[in-house]
Amino acid sequence: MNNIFLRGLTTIIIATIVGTIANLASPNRIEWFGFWPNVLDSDSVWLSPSYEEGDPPAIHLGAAFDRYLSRSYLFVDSREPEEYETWHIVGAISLPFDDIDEYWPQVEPLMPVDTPIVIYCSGSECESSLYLARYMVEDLGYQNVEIFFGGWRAWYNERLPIEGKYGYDNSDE
Amino acid sequence: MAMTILTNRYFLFALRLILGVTFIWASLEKIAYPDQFARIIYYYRIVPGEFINLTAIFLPWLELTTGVMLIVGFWEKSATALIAGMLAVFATALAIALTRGIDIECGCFSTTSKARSPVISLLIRDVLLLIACFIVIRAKASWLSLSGRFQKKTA
Repeated sequence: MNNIFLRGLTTIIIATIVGTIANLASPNRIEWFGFWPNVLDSDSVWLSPSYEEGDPPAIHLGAAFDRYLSRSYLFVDSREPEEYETWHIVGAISLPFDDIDEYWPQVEPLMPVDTPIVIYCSGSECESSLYLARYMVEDLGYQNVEIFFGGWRAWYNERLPIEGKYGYDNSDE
Repeated sequence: MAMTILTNRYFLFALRLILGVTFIWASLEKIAYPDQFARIIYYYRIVPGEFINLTAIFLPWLELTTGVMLIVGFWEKSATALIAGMLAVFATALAIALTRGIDIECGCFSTTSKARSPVISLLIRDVLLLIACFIVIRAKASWLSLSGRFQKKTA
């Protein structure tokens, strides 16, 4: 047993030495300590000042990211169309609240009424995600709508997957 | 009958080959693209941020080293114990992903999401490989192993 442990430890040391040399020599080498923020596990939820009791639930960044990874939620971007075209969360669709009448016929087929939806806008100070969420729940009958108040800014700051007219960035695809 | 198979030297050698090849194969793309592997580790949200890159750099080399050791039969019990440890960690990570309902590429054999398997099937595969590890560790002697040859020469 002692032998197995010592040999195992030796194996780990050998692999560590080889890994160190390989990372120094590799054209694809990475930093020894990268930038990987831990705030994804934060429980704090940014709320818009206009958020009221009874509004659709608000979720924090970690929960939004889990929903993104589950691939069963539809992300809806309520910012201006130009902002969406530049960059948006990977897979999100554009539904600007100010132009909802114009956009609704195009997006309605993509989101049946039972679709789990996460709505976001620029950040905690913008309110279009809140207004859109209220509208979708109260007027259109959607039941599974959540608001990600951290929005675009929180997502972008944490270098999570985005896409837009400049291509992909931080993408897991 | 079952015990006879479990101690059969050809069967044990086949298990060593399966485990060894699996881990060598699993390591190659991660070694080639450590940045993408680091991102997958990040998505699991289990490893603290400070240790993600270190894990992405060293873990694939441990997989490769143990895989080669198992195939050539050098310190194969230690290599198998390490592989079992890694499999246990992977299975725990997958189980946590399953409970959180997230669908991430497992990062097992590829750093891209082209070949995505359901998390539950990945878990089952890990458990089967773990069982193979225990059979190899419990075996008394290894056939076609470098360690065995050294022992015979020194005896």
